Amino acid sequence: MPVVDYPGREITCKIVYYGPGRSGKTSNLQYIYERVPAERRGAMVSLATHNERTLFFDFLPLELGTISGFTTRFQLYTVPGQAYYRNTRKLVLQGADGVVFVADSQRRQQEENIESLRDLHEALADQHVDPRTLPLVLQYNKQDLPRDLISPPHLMEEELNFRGVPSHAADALTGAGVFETLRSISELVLRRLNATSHAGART
Amino acid sequence: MNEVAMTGLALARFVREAGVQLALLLEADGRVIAQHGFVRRIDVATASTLAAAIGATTRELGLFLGDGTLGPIHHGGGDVQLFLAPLPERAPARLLLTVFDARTSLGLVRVFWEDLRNALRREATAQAPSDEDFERELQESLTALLGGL
Ligand SMILES: Nc1nc2c(ncn2[C@@H]2O[C@H](COP(=O)(O)OP(=O)(O)OP(=O)(O)O)[C@@H](O)[C@H]2O)c(=O)[nH]1
Ligand SMILES: [Mg+2]
Repeated sequence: MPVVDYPGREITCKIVYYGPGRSGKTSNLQYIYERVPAERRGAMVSLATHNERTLFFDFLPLELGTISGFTTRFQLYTVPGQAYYRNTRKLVLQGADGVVFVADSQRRQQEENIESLRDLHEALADQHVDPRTLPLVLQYNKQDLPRDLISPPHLMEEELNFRGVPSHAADALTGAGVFETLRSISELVLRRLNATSHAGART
Repeated sequence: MNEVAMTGLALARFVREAGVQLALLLEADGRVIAQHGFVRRIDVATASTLAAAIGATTRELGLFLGDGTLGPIHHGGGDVQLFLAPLPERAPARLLLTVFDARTSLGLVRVFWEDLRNALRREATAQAPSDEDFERELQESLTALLGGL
């Protein structure tokens, strides 16, 4: 659940960008960092290797404004996609209020996507999170690449979106679909929080 | 009084009694639950994320070397010292990150850390509020952040 500070009237939601190595998770955060109003974002922290592969995580805090009288903040994280960082991924995923799954639309990466989606479900199950109730949005990234290299969104949809969650075609380098994706997951996370608080749920 | 208010009060008392400059109470993943002291001097979000990373890597190192329990970590710098300690009263353990200088001592900080743990153990639980203007405010806020799509 999001961290809710009632006397301080603040809500902090954690959103994790998940997906296989080099699918464009860090690129999503970089685009967001560059394009949101400066007064609404904090410093972006990237713990990466020299060749820019994410080693631990990227972290970007955003301020959404006031909703229901609460200052609402998002903390965006990316996980390292490379297979051997499995434990780090689990760590970063802890306490996530929502997940954006960034898939690589290149055909030769489809196995990687499926493997990573499976990895996500396993990690959630390990943390006793029901993957069916956790807000999830899919992003089909790198749609800018030549057609013979990629699967179009409707095929990605068939391969990956068996739960019928919101999905967006994207090109994280120019930013197409990046804000749409963030908007989608933000809505899911905050609507869920609102619903549970109406139900009198405890945090 | 609800849980969060109690937590805030307990942390404020810790800062006063231990004589530290600032204290952050964090979830294991780095989200801030409460903060007190001269927090304006630092970027709280970044400090807490890095502290959580220390907590996580220390725990992993402990497991790797055969001892999974995370004890407090003291970093004795020049002017400022850091004390990062688990608050294991609930799982996953929360973290206390505190910054202090020569006006107090590690011994005192440790004593009041124990007190803080006892106080947190007695916490009550909190209740969430409700609001019907939620959806309109959600859309307005998202548009302010991301622009109209
Ligand atoms: N053509 C194209 N390239 C992209 C796109 N998004 C990312 N890339 C490139 O793909 C490479 C990997 O991008 P990153 O954002 O670092 O990927 P990542 O998912 O963070 O990778 P890991 O940190 O290793 O998990 C970089 O060279 C990016 O420039 C896209 O939409 N289109
Ligand atoms: Mg990355």
